[in-house]
Amino acid sequence: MQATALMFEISRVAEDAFGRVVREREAQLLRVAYRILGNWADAEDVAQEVFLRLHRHGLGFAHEASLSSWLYRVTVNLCVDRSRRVRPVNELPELREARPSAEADLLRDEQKRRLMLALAKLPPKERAAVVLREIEGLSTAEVAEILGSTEVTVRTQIHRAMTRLRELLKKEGA
Amino acid sequence: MREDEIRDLFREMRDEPVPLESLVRVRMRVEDRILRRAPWKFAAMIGAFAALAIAAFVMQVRPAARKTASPPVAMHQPAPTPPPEEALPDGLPLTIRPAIVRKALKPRPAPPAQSISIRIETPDPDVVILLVGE
Repeated sequence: MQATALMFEISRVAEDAFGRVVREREAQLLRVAYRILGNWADAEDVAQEVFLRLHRHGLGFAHEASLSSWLYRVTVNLCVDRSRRVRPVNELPELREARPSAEADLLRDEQKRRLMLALAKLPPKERAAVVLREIEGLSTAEVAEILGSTEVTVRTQIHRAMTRLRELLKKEGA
Repeated sequence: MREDEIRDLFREMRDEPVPLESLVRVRMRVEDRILRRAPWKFAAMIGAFAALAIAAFVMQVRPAARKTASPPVAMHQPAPTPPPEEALPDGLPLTIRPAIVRKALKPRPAPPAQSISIRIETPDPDVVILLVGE
């Protein structure tokens, strides 16, 4: 039946487009989730849930920017919800495998490890704002749209977060 | 540590690679969940399509049934029976009105066949299924 073949074709095209989005965005979403949550296992769960929601939602976005914004928003919301449920991270966050390299590299890795630990102590919303603005390099307006707040609020959150990070690192002796 | 040093560290973190095994795990889990759900989804789509096809068929058949119904027939009213002739007084003219015969009405022309179109929107805005029936 021609209609059935057409349905199969529509379904196949939609799945191809979805697969392409997964391949293009999975690293980005995993990185954001990991920076907010502090461990890869939770970040994987969040990334998986984001893609399943995208599959249910469909790819009917007006343009690329709205897809990107939607993905970030769902990721951040899931991470913030998870951060509220789970106790704050007390152990040192996992980092990529330390390469036996020059002393400067080791020192740099240690600084990043401490910074990640300090970041994990911030409230979830502030942490998300810092990750999106400082690590992902999004504009303040984009961060505000993703977090559903105003630019002024985002600036305040980032300023407060940076002050707190400096205090925590100072206390740690970094 | 100063604020600009913190920002530098954050910028470096942006370029750090994501572990390959995490990427593979996410992709496999997503594919697995979607494939497990797909047969149900496809069955639902086929069911919806069948329901629409049946609805279109029923809508198409109904006007045709109306068309084949017998055309309206004009009612022939019996001509009024003239009163029994009575003996008229002499000298009065006798006039007889002709009986009124109504012409039979012509059957109305059948309405032109209407085309039925059903529009099914898919999750993809570029793909729309149009079912057109005469």
